[in-house]
Amino acid sequence: MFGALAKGFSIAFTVSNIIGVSIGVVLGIILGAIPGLTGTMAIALLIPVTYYMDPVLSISLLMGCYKGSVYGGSISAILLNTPGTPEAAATTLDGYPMTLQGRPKKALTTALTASVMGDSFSDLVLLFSAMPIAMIALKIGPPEYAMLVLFSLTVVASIAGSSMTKGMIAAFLGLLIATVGLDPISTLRRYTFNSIDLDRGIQLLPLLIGLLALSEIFQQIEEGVSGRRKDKDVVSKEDAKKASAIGDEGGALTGKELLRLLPTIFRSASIGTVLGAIPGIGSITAAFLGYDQAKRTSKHPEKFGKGAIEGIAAPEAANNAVCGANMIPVVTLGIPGSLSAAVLMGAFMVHGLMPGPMLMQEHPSTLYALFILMLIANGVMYIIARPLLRVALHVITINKAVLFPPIIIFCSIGAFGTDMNFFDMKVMLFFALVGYGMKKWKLSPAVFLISFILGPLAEHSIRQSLIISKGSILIFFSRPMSLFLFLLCIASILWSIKRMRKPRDRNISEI
Amino acid sequence: MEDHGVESGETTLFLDGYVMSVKKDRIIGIGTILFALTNFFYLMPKYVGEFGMKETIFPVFTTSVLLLLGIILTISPFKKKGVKKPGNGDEEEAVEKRSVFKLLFTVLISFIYCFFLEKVGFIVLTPICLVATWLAFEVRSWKVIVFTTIILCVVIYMLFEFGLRAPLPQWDF
Repeated sequence: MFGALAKGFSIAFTVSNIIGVSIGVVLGIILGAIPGLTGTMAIALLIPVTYYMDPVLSISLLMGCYKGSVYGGSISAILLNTPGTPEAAATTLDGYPMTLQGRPKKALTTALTASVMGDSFSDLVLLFSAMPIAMIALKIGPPEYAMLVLFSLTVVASIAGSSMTKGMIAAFLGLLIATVGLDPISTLRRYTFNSIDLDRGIQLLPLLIGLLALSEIFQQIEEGVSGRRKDKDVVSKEDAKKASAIGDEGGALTGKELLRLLPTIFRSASIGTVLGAIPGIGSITAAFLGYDQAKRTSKHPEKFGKGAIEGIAAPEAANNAVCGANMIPVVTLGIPGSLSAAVLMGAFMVHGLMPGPMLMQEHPSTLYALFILMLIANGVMYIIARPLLRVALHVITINKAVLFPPIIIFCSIGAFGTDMNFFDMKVMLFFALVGYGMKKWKLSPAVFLISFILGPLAEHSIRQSLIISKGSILIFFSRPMSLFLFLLCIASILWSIKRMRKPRDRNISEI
Repeated sequence: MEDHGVESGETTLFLDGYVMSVKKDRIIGIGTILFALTNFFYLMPKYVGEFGMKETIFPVFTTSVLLLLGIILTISPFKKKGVKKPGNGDEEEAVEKRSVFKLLFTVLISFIYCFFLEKVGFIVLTPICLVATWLAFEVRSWKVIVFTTIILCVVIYMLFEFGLRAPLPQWDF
């Protein structure tokens, strides 16, 4: 492990990789600050651009973008009471009151410090736990893997949206669509409709771009964009100008305040790391749980919601800690537990790095280089976030009516550019319409995407298991670990049914 | 309409929302059942192989589960109590006609771009599609339209031609 770690350091500390991760962080902060554009969408749009780059440079750029976007969402949350990304919603509770009290600089520096510390905490956990977990994962056989995939899908499907049944429909549709193309063992054509283009299956990138980015744009166009009247999600130039005059009112976070915040940050970072490693639980839950715990354990809970710095530090540390933790199941098991993890996993696959326990065996120094670059990204974010603030505030005033047409062109060219194949553009458009339709009918495109990515692994595991057992399905129930995971699936389904009976806002999708 | 549900036997002031939600779920359920049956009896035999072949194991498994889920969704008449969702995220709200026009126009432009890029070429088709979409979105600032088009086309062209060494399609008539 230490040999690979040392080699990872030498790969990470090159000029190109550090510049790449810095560019990713800059783009992420700016794009994350724009309400309506999520970090996941930003990564989906950037993947085609990074297709021809070195894998370490490419993935570190995308990781930097993801991390930057999670922090970027807090900028507009604090200054304008409009979270740029969903996970920044909890930050508005105390962030915006601090702005109204004339203390925006303190709010922003608190958010930045907590984000960097929370993220670094989970990155260190990832760095030191990836190898041991991968070693354990190597002992998992095909039946266990099949059950693990099924368990992940049941958890993810239950959290995404208003109905577990619809979540599972989206999941199994994704699994079915993943079978299009040549059979992985016999190379028999499946669902190719006699089209040579479909022999290579549905390519991940065009599907991802269409399902996540373009369908979202279609939905936002339907909700209303106009170059004439004020777009309801666009920040006015007057508001941005007021927000940008942050000056030195209230001052930045002091050393004494930072010491006071350390227990809160550490607790929230732990919450974010644990939740981030579990499939299906994402940064929104982590942020609100971190906030809730900070309030419960505070000596002055009455100050929360009125401009308490703990009320900013807790959600920011928690939601940023999810970034690194999300990668634990991806690199060790090859199972993405959230949409952003699924997209990043797509980036790995596009560059020929198949996530899973073998990845750690075959490319340990590459992985360690990526983990180290993730830590470097946090440092870069701390340094450049403040100068970027004014740029971000300018960018968020851009009307979506101006922004969307170039994004649509970028989506199309991105889908074409991965394999220089025009058919991919049509695939992208098809899945953009599918994604739009799914959202209209409350089926989760995120679950569909995750299951599409897991489809080949699930099929491979099931078929291998049946070969080992000579066709008997009892193999899934006769092995202790496999049976345990099957029982976990049942428990997950029963828990979801029970959860659905409780009144809650079932229109929030965690992933 | 608000997304409230009812438990069996209760009356509710939001019956119309309940009926709409159940109707939509039933439509999805029936659609899923039809899709599963079509796959079993038409698509799989024609485009994969006969039942029993190794290559059909996974499609049969996933389609069987889809059929079951479709039946569950169709026959499940009861919705659990929900909470009122703030804001206007409900699809039953009336959508402005202008927004629908813009959406349809955008989809049309996307189709044109995807299907004609190979023949017409990047340099010709991209500005046309961009300008058409901006005008449909009521963007009237010619500075924004002209400068953004030029900058975007140049950046993408340079990125692909020189950065990625992946040539973009040219005029091919």
